[in-house]
Amino acid sequence: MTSPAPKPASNEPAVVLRGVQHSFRKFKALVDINFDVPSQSLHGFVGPNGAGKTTVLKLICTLLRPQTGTVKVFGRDVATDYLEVRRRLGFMPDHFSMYRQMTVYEYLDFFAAAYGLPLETRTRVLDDVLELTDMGGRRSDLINGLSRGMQQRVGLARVLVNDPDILLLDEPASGLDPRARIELMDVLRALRSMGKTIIISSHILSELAELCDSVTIIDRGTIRYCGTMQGLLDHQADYPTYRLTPAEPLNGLREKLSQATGIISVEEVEGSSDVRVAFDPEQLDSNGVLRAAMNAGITVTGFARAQRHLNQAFMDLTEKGVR
Amino acid sequence: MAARGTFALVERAMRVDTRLARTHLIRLGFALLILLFVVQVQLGIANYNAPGRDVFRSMCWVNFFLLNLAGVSFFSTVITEEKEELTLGLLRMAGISPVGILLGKVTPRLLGVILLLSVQLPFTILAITLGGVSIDQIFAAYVALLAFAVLMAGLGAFLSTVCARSSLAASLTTATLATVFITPYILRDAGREMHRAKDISVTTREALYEAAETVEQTTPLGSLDVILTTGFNSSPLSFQVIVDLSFGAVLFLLAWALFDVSTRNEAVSTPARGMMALFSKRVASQSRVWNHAIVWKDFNFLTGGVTAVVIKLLAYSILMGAMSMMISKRVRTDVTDNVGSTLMASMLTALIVEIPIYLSRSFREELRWQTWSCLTLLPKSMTRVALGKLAGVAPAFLPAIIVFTVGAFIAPRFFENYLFKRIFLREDGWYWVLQYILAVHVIVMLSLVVKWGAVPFGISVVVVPNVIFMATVGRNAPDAILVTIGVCTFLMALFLQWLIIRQLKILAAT
Ligand SMILES: Nc1ncnc2c1ncn2[C@@H]1O[C@H](COP(=O)(O)OP(=O)(O)OP(=O)(O)O)[C@@H](O)[C@H]1O
Ligand SMILES: [Mg+2]
Repeated sequence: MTSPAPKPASNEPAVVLRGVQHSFRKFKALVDINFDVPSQSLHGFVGPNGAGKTTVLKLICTLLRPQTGTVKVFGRDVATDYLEVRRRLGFMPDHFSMYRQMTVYEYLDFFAAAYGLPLETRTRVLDDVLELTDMGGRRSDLINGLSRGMQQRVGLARVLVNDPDILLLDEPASGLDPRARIELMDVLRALRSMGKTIIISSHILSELAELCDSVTIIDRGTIRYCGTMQGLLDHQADYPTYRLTPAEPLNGLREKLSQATGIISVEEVEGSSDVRVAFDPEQLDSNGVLRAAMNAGITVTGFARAQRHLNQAFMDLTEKGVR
Repeated sequence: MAARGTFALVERAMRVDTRLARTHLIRLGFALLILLFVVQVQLGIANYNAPGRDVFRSMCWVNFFLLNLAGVSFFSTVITEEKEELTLGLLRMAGISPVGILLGKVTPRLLGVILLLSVQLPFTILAITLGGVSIDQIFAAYVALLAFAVLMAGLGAFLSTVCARSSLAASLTTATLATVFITPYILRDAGREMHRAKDISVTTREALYEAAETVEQTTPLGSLDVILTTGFNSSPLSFQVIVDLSFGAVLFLLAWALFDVSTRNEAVSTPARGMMALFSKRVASQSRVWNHAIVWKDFNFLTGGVTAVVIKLLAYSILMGAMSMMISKRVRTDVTDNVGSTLMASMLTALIVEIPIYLSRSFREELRWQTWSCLTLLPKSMTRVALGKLAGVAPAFLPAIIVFTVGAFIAPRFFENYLFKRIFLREDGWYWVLQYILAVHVIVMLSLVVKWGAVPFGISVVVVPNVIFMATVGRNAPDAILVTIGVCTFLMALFLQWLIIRQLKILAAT
């Protein structure tokens, strides 16, 4: 293995983008991008089609040169220090970029050798990545004959061969069946626990909800949100809200509940008999809400803290229509 | 339905065509070429008694050359292109019939060629004014060329229907054309030699000559000569026109008939594993990637590995061995010199052709299978990656180099006196080496930006101006001019190198 790079202090951000703009001819793909990705975290990068996700990832991985602004990976500028950045980074593009005429093992061995690993290290590393991605049994199969999910795994195995500190995965879950998705998420969690920083892009926010520590939402070349997942859910919620499931539809009882002290609003949840109850935390707590409901004569079968639905958050933050 | 589909296809092709600045540039370049020829004649006008005819003759040969070029690149990819982009199935599913697809794809290209020819009308008028050529001759010549264009279109439709890949279709077109052009010479040669050896009678020999003449008259190669002789007054519907039109039609019908059968398995979804396929099991379990990984990859997957190199060496040896036998039977004196020089000349030609082909393929394949971006993300500079790729394809040239060396050993005197001194030490030897280097750069650059025809276009971009230059002022040009051109060539090659690297970087990010 090449000389081990000093592990970054975990408080130093892994990726920093400042004032990044990017145009293709006259078309402004990125307007003004500023965000940080904390080190050793799993960071979601979400946006609709054409938002500029791939463009940002290509900037980070040195495929594109920043036109204005700076992009730093572990404190190194991608424009000048690109060889060092490439050494510590693995990028998995959204298309299958593979030598389909090679076998799985040849393919991985090729990249390991291209990164300059000596033969013995290669053997060990390949065994490791094949095991991690569960592709050991298919090592001598031609890549061309593999299913999409398997090719996705080979792609992931490929970015792991040089033991990068940061992984950029462009829509790795697209085209995978639910089971393969869950398995992919497991592999990503395992990688994070090994201390890697992972940026994963997706169109679907809810897909990343459980997985990611933090998330960036991008739309039309601008950042709409950057922060923790929980922060996104609480974002803009003025009062704590609980979701209440009655035994039977409320009808008149809803009015009664909303007049109880400390209750601010009772809204129906579309498509169910549930209601969302918002309350003033200075007058009530969750027990108080439950009590008020029972006092109003409601039979409660379910009661939980309501979160703004992720899809709702996504819709609120992004604009209608593709550009 | 079919008719509407065809029309939609034609329309799409035309729109794409007109949007591409490249096609316009090619047309412009073409018109320019013609102008240059006219200038050439104007320059030497005092020496000619039929200047108009000479202008027109040059134009005809350029046209003929370009039609061959179009046949090899433009027409031969007409269907394979859709196959390789996996869009043929979509066209079929859209309910367009085979004949609809064929017509829809071939017609725009044929129209493009016709447009190219009609651009020249003003110049033909000029030729008439200059004198020595009649309007009948001009008309007949264009009919001959058009008929040949139809033949090219038919051949392209047929071969690109039958072949799975553009490269194969283009190679087969080249082989077909070469066969047609060479056959008359072989027939005449065989007739003369066998008669001399008393194997055949005079009548058989005359029959062979007759056959040679007939074959020659099937293409403009023979018919243009007839048309351009003074006093020509036959019908423009010559033997050649009839043959070309009917062959073109027959080939088109054949393409139609075979369309369903040969396009059923359209998916060329994988690059060829080449010779590795023969040993894939063994390779997978035993051999490991070399430390120079990129060299390993291109050597095994692009040049075909050790097996392919050995097979090529065998093929070259057998071919050259057979040729040497023939030569040693026919010549009495200087047998070794003759054999040796043939080996060297053939292998030098092979090398000259192989180098640009392999170099451009080496990048094209990466782009085609979208593997280039991953390769550029390695912590290596672009130059090192490119050098690795060069080293990977270099073994492909070994067979030719080995056979060449054998030739040099057989005829050391010839090697020293003729090849070494005349080519490498001759005053203007360096000039041609530079031109070649430029051509290789042009081809590699073109292969990064155009879909087909990089090799023939690259060659003609460099060869045609040189031919014109040599035919006009170059042969007795003062050294200063040669040196200036040489320096410019070198600078252009450097500039192209920079452009190539830049283009490779751009392509990596898209
Ligand atoms: N090479 C290019 N040339 C011109 N425009 C481009 C190029 N690459 C991207 N764009 C434009 O930049 C915008 C952002 O593209 P990008 O690929 O980054 O979006 P994305 O968020 O990855 O979308 P998707 O979810 O569809 O993959 C798009 O509008 C696209 O048309
Ligand atoms: Mg994308």
